[in-house]
Amino acid sequence: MPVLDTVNTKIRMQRAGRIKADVTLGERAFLYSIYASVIAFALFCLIPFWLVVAGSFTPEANLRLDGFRLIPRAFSTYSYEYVIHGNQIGNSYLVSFSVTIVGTLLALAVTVPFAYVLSRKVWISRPLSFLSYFTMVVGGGLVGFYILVSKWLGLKDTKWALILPYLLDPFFVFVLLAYFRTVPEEMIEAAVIDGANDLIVFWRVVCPLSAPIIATIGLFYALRYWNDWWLALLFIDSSANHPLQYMLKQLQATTDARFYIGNPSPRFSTVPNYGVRLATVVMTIGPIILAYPFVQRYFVRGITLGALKG
Amino acid sequence: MGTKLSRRQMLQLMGSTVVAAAGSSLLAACKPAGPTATTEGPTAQSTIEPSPAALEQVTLKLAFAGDAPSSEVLGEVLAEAEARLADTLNVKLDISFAPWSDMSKLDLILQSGEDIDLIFDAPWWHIHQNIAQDFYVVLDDLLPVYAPHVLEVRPQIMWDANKFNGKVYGIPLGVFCYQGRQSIIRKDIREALGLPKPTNWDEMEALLKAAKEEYPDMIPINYFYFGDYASHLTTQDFDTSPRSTTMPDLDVLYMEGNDGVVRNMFEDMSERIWSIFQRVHAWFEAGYIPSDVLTNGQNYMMNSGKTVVDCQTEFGVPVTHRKDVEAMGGETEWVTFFDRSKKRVTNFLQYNFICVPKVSKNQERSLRFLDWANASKENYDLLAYGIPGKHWEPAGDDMYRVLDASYPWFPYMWVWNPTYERTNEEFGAEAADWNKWTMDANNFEADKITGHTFNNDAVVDQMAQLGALKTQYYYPTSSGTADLETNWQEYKEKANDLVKVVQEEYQRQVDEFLASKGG
Repeated sequence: MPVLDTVNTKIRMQRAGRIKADVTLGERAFLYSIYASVIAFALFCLIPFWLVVAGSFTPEANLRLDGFRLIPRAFSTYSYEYVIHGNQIGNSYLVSFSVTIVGTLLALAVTVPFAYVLSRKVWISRPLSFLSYFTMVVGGGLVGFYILVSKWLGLKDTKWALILPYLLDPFFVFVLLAYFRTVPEEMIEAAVIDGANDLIVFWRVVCPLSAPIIATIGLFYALRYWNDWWLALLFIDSSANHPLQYMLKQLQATTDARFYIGNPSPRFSTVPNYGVRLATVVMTIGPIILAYPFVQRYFVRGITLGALKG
Repeated sequence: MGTKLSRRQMLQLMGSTVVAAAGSSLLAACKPAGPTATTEGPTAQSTIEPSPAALEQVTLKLAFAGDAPSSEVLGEVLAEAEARLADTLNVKLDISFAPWSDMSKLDLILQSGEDIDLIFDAPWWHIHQNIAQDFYVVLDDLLPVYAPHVLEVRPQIMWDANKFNGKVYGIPLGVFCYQGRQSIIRKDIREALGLPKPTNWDEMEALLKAAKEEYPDMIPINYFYFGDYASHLTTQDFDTSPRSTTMPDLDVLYMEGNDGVVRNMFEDMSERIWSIFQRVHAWFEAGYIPSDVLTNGQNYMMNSGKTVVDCQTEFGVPVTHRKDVEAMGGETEWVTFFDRSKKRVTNFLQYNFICVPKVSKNQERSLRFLDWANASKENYDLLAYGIPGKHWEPAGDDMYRVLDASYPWFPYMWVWNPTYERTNEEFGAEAADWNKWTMDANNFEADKITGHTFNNDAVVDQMAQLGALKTQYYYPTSSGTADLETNWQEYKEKANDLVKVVQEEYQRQVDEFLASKGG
C-alpha cells in the first residue's frame, strides 16, 4: 500500500530526526485506523481459540454454569487426564499421524510427477490435462464414490480408504503445472545436452528449483489429511481406525463421552462431556501447528520469488 | 520432447480417450455391482425346525444409528453372543453405527446396495420412503417360520398397529403402548421455595412463577425438542386424548375421543387444545420459557444447571441429569401427569424398527439370529445390557443394576420388547412401576384407526406446502412464542384451503379402513 508506506517512512524519519517531515493529522489517523482494524481482526481470530484453550482447563461444573470465560474461575486438568487415560485418543493419534504422513508423501509422489508430465509438451499432456480438468467439474456423485471405494475396491474400514481418495487433486496439479512452466527451458536443455534423461531432469533439475511450491502443496495435502473426517464417516466403522477429527466429531455427537473414550480408570467418577471436547480440540491442533514452521521459509521465498523477476 | 502431433491427430486422440473412458465406465456399470436382489431367500415352505448344527459361518452385518460403544467393549459382548451361537447358527456379528448427526449414512448404505443384513429405520427417519423404494423384505410370511419368538414376545396389537400398507416391513422395537412423559424438577429449588410437588399444570405454573421471581437467572421450564410445549401438555391429557394425526406436518388435523373423525383445527378447534396453546403462550409472555426456544433448547437442559423444570419423555430422572445436577450441589425429582384412572386412547405406534434389506444374502440367518435374541431373557439381557456380572447384574426380575457403564444402552436398535425389558435401578422403583403400567395394553383404549397408514399420494403437493407452513406458523404456536391470535389467523388464511383437501382425503381413507374392519 503506497500511501501507508509513505506515511510510515515519514513518521520513522521524523522520529529519527533526520528530516522535518510533515505528517498530517489525516495521514496519522489513517495509519492508526489501519492498525486498529488489523488488531481487531487478530483478536477476532484469537479470542475464540483462547476460549477453547481456557475452557479445556476449566472444571466441568464451571463450564456448565458459567459457559466460556476468558479467565476461568477455576483451573483443572481433569478433562485432559480423562482423555489421555482413555484408549481412543492413542488409537486416533496413531491413525491421524500415519494417514497424514503416508498420505502426504504418496500424494506428492503422485501429484508432482503428474504435473511435470503435463508441463512438458508431449503427446499425452493435453489429454491428461483435459481429463484432470474434467474430473474437477464432473463427478460420479456420492453413491458412485461410495460404491467404488467400499464395494469395488473393498477398502471399507481400512486406512487406505482415508488415503487413496485424496492422492491426486486436480487443482494442485494445475498450481504445480503453472510453476513448472516458469522453470527456464534452457536449464532443462542444458541438462539434456549433458546426458540427463527425463527422470534425472525431473529429480535433479526441476524439483530443487520448485521446492517452494512443492513444500506448499505438501502442506496443503498434510492439512487436508489431518483435518479430514468425511472419509472416516463414510468408510470407517471400527473405532480403532478413527482419525482424530472423526473422534472429535463423535464426541460432539455422543450423549455420553465415556462410551467413546474407552475405559478410563475408575478414579474418573464423573464424565466431563464438554471439557473432553475442548481438550481433544487442543490436542488435535497441536501437531499440525508444528508443521507450519518447517515450511514457513518456503512460503516467504515463494512469495518474493515472482516479485523480483524481471 | 517427443513428437508433435497435428491438430487433427490431437482431436482424434482426445476423442478416443473420452470414448474409451465413457465406454469403460459403462462396462463397469454393467458389471454386477455386488449382491443383487435375487439372492437365495428363504421360502415359505421351509419348516420351523431349528437350523442344522453344521452351518457354514457367515458374518451378519448390522447397521445402526447412535452412540457407538468402543470396538473393544462391543467386541466383548458380541464375542459372547457368537460363542453362544457357535454350535447352532454359527454367525459372526459386525455392527456399524452412524452418528445421530449423520444418519444419512444409513440411506447411503441402502442406496448403494451395500451388503447389509439388518438395518435400523424409523417413521421419524425414512422408513416410509425406503419402503416405497422397495428396499425391505416383507416379513409377514417369514417371521412365523424363522422367528416365531420375535412374534411371541410382542403383543398382537403391536404387530397390527405397526404395519405399513398392511404389511410387516420391519420388526417394531418398543415396549410401551404409549410413550411416557415427565417433567424433571430441581427438588432443591422447589423445597427452597416451600412448594409441594405439583400434581397438575396449575400447581406446576405456581412453581414456575415462584422460580421466576426468586431465581431470575434461571430458566423456569425448558423443552429441548423444538420447544414443543403444547405437545408436552396434550400428550399428558388423559381426559379427551387430544392427538395430532400420525403423519408429520399434519398437526393441524387432529382427533379427540375415539370416534374416528378427523378434525381440522382451523374450523373445528378443540377447546382443550386451544386452552393449551393459550397456557403455553402465557408462559412465554411471563418469561417462563427461554426466548430462543427453537435454537437453544439443548443448552438449557437440566444438566446445564440453568433450568428448574425440564420436559422429557419416559419416566425417571436420567443418570446423567441426576449426577450432573448433584455435582452442582442440587437434587432432582420427576413428576408425570398421566392418570391411571383413565384409559388414554392410543394407536400403539412404535418409533423404532429393524428391517431386512432385500440385498441381504443371509435373510434366513438374520431372522433366525433375531429369533435367538428374543428367545430367552438370557439372550436378550446379553445384547441389551452387556455381559452379566461384568457390565450389569439383576436387581429383581424386572430391574437391573449397572456395574460398568462402558456398554451403552441400545436395545431399541435391534431387540427391544415388552416381555424381557428391565428398568435401570437408577430410575427408581416408581419409574419401573410406571413403565410396567405403560407396557400393559389393557391400560389403554385402542384408537379405532390403529393399523391405518395414511397414503399421501393424492395430496403430496398440499403436504409439501403444509410442511413449510408448519415451520413458519405451527412451531411458534406450539412453543408459545408467537402472538397466538394474530399468528393463528395468518396460519389459517394460508393453510386452511390446503388442510381441507388433505382432511377430506384423510377422512375418506379412515372411513374406508373402518369399513374394511367392519367397525
